[in-house]
Amino acid sequence: MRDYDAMMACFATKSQFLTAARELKELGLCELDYYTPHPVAELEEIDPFDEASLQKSMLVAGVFGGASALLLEYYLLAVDYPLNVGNRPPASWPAFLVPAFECLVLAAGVTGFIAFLLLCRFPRLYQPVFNIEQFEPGEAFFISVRTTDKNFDDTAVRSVFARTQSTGVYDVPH
Amino acid sequence: MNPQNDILGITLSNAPKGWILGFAASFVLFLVFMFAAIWLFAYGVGIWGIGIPVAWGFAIVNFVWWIGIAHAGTFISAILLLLNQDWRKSVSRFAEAMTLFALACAGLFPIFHLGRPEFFYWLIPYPNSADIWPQFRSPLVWDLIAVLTYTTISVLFWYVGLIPDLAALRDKANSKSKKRVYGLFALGWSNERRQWHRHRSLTIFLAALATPLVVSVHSIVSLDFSVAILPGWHTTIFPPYFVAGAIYSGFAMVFTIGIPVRKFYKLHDYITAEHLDRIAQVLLVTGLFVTYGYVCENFLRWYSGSEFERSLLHSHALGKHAVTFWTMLTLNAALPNIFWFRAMRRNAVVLFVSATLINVGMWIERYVIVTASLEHGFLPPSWGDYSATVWDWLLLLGSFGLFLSLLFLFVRFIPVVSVFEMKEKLAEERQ
Repeated sequence: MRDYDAMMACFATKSQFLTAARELKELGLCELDYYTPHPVAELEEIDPFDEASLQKSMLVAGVFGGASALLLEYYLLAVDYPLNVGNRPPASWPAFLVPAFECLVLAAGVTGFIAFLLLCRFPRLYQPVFNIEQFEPGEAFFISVRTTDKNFDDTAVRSVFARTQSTGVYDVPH
Repeated sequence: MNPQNDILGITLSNAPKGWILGFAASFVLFLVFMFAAIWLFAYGVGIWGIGIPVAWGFAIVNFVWWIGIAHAGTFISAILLLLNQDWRKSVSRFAEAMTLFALACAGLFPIFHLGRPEFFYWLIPYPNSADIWPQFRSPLVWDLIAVLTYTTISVLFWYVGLIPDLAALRDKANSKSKKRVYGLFALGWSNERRQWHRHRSLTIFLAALATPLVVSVHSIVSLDFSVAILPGWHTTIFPPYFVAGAIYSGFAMVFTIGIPVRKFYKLHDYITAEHLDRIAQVLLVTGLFVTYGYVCENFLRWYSGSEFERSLLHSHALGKHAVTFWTMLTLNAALPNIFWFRAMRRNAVVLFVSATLINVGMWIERYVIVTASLEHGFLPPSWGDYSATVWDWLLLLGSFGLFLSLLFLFVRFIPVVSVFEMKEKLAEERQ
């Protein structure tokens, strides 16, 4: 294990940032972190990231939440204590669908939020990159190459950063 | 134009004198609200003007009105997001905050209006010794579930959208305590690519969930009236009519509070005349929907041939309720037509005044629906009169105290415009 966690470079413009990202991918590196002021769509072609866990969890939770609500209503109002109101059928599913829909939305939304927190490992108040004073992801673009990457080569990565006119290279401590 | 400096600068600097005065005034009004609420809990709903036949008065009018206002925020942040309307970016944070505070006000009134508010929890299906359960076929029970769901989803949606800006505040904070507090709520957000991906996914899916909520929540509220047999209430037009009216009054409230904030904090670069124009166009369109709703409702009252419905129509148009009815029509149906003219849509003063009048008009509409229909039931022996008492008015005006206090706190401590969305927009424009 090296004495620092990652090597990070700062780029002033998006094009320099994307060029550096491409070159780093060509070197065979995969443990890369990209820090940008706003989402950058072009990164999808250079380093695809398609994680669908959030959507899947929301769907499952929604269906489960809606079905549970429906079952609860049915059990409470048609099995446990049915009230005879004008001899109407106790299993009034059109009426039951309304709260079930609301519970579906509630379950899906809350699960989505929890999944978001879990996937991002939030709250994560300490991150090694926060040790770097010049780290301002709201203003500039940063690429961080973790030293645990099997293709990590100190000189190769530094030369990529130099070639793509990075405005600073930093060693991120653990 | 630098969103980071302009918007975050407002949040991180000390409170201007105008803010302190405004917050103080709002807080005093909030204390009036607390006083009226405590008096209500101590002495019961008899202090209000309600009785028989008008058993629902200001409390329900206020509930429906505030929920309606909440819907515009969700419309702007969720529905316009899904429709890729980029112009919403400047106002979505502010509108979503307005939703949350309007919901805070709205949610209290159903509890207030209960004769025995201590038993509000009976609406929740908990196992109890009486073995009794809430009536899940009733819109009144649906209201509880719908409003709770809507509040939860709105809070989550607003907070998730706020996380990148809280991180920016943490990074730009000029004091240790601010850094700690903003840092805590920013959860360690570091603008990392995977975080952005998940953030965008969650935002889009929460927006997709919030969209049917906007339609369903106010439809459920409207069904509180529709399922009754009372003339004036028993009509199928209420769900779309209420939803359109909600978006209408909500957008008007965006103007009523947004225009002063824009002027005071000099946000003209972010909320441009173009944005005002678009919101005014939405007001015009929803105003036309509401007008169509009025035409349908009243025409069908007459066309139905029902002597009870026709009697109510007569009372509205020419009888006891004529003044309020025609005021309502002037403010809600006639007034928005000034927005056909471009000059009117871009004049901040005109927009502010007309938006405030539309809000008043929409409140009057709810008042007419709730009380006028109850005053004028089927048979003359069941007719009655309603007049609000000072406690009704104090609770209504006091609710503005709660709303405005929360709004002032929001403006003070949270970025009013979504900074990361502004940066995204500027980057796109540069390309």
